[in-house]
Amino acid sequence: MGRSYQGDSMRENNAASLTFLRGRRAQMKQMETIMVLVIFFILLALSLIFYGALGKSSIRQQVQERFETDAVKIMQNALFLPELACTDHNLRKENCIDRYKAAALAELLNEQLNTDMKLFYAKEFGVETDLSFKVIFPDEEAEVMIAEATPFDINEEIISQEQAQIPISIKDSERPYNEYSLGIMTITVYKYGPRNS
Amino acid sequence: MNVSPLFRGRKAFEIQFNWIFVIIVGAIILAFFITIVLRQRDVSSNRETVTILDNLEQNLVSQKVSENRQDVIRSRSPFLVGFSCDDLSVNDQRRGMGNAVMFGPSSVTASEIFTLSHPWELGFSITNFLYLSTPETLYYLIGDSVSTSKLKERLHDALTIKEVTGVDDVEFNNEQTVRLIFVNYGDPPILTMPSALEDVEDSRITALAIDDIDRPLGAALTFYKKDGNGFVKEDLNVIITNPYPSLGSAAMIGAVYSDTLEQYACSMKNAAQRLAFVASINAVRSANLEAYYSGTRNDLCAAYHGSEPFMTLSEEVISVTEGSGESAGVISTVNNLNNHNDQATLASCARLY
Repeated sequence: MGRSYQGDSMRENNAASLTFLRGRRAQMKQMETIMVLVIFFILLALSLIFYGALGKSSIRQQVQERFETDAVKIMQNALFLPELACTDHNLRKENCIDRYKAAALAELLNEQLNTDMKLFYAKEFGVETDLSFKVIFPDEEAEVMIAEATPFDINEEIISQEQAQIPISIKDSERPYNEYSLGIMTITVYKYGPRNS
Repeated sequence: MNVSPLFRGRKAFEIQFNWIFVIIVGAIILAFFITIVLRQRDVSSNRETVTILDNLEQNLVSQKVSENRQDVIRSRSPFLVGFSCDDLSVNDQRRGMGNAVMFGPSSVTASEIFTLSHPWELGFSITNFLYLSTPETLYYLIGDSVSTSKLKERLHDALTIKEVTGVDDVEFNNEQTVRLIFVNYGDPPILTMPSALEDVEDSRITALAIDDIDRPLGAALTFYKKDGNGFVKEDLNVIITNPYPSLGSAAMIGAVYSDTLEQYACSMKNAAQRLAFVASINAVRSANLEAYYSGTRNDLCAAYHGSEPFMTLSEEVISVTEGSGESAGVISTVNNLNNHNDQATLASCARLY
């Protein structure tokens, strides 16, 4: 009787510990699954962060490339503008600007009340652009500023700039002969950002 | 070995829980990837739209700096392209095109865009006009073959164009839009609706009548839209005249490309604004040269120069585009400017332009 009682309690104890073990094993299995999932999501998150960072740096590179090509585009545009270009019975001379036209455009853009015109040419040259030319031959002359950059916000400062220069002919209508001089057109495109201080 | 019902129940619950767990996590993972795929699809479609707009913008910048240039912009799949006088839209994205003066149909679905540029000159050179169209618009040039050929050679080579001598030769093969250009049909023109187009939806058919193709400065450009079995003159609530006077050859071509008077008038207003600025620059230049010649006692050259004809032309063109002026004033001022320029050249003075 006593033996049988002992045997029963042992059997019960064994069954309980077996169930306990099975439960532990199941719990461990679940934990394992959860860990696999956690690691999976961590890897996924890491790869997404990496992908995002790559995308960000490629966007930054594209912005920089655009900034550089913009300068060339504005230069091309400026050299073609009928407002600046040398013409002879409407035939345009390549890479040539008319000094009188350039002076007239600069004069009109400097007039304080000429807001419409300023806005119009800001679209043409960009608001963050300096456009100037200078005669270098036969006699070197002072630089003439056609359009000047104006930051949108006075709290901003120049954070980078891109400059392009191109040799041009400059037509001087005052002189009936030898009316062309050699010069350089300079375009500087600025990038503004918030002040550090 | 006997397992108590309690433990058996826990075992069953455990298996059920495992399944529920797998389903929930599976659904989350699936949803996650579906979201990524959908987002990528949107991004790639937006990217294609942006690429088309970038190509267009790049192309238009090049067109602005080269005269009489024509290009084709292609895409893998058709897209909805819309032109207005200030901006361009591809699918649902719009982009301003700066100060470019553009002419094109209001809205077409196509996978190709044809671009073309012609210089706009009224005595002096003002800017390049940009023209946009697609192969989905069929252009019928109706009139005598000499006149229609003259017009055709100024349009993009790849445009879908048919030259016919009368409306009876017009056919309809389910084109998206059809634009009928009646050449040298008099002023006012007498137009009849081609029978092939009578049953076609009104919005798909537009027409333009040019009274004299050989008179680019001053020809009457009359814009029509289809109304049932006939044409009606476009009538805008704003003060814009119809017929609209042609202000040069490039402006006449613009009327062929624009499918509504409103669109055309808006582009011409932009053109007039540009003219005002170019004229004011030429005016200051000429006034400065006048002062220079007066200072050097060269009265002959001083007499040819001055700001007045430029400013007059600018005012006259603006009044035409606002519907309050007539082309006669523009024509005489342009002739006056050309005479002064020729005389200045003959007298070895600086040219006016």
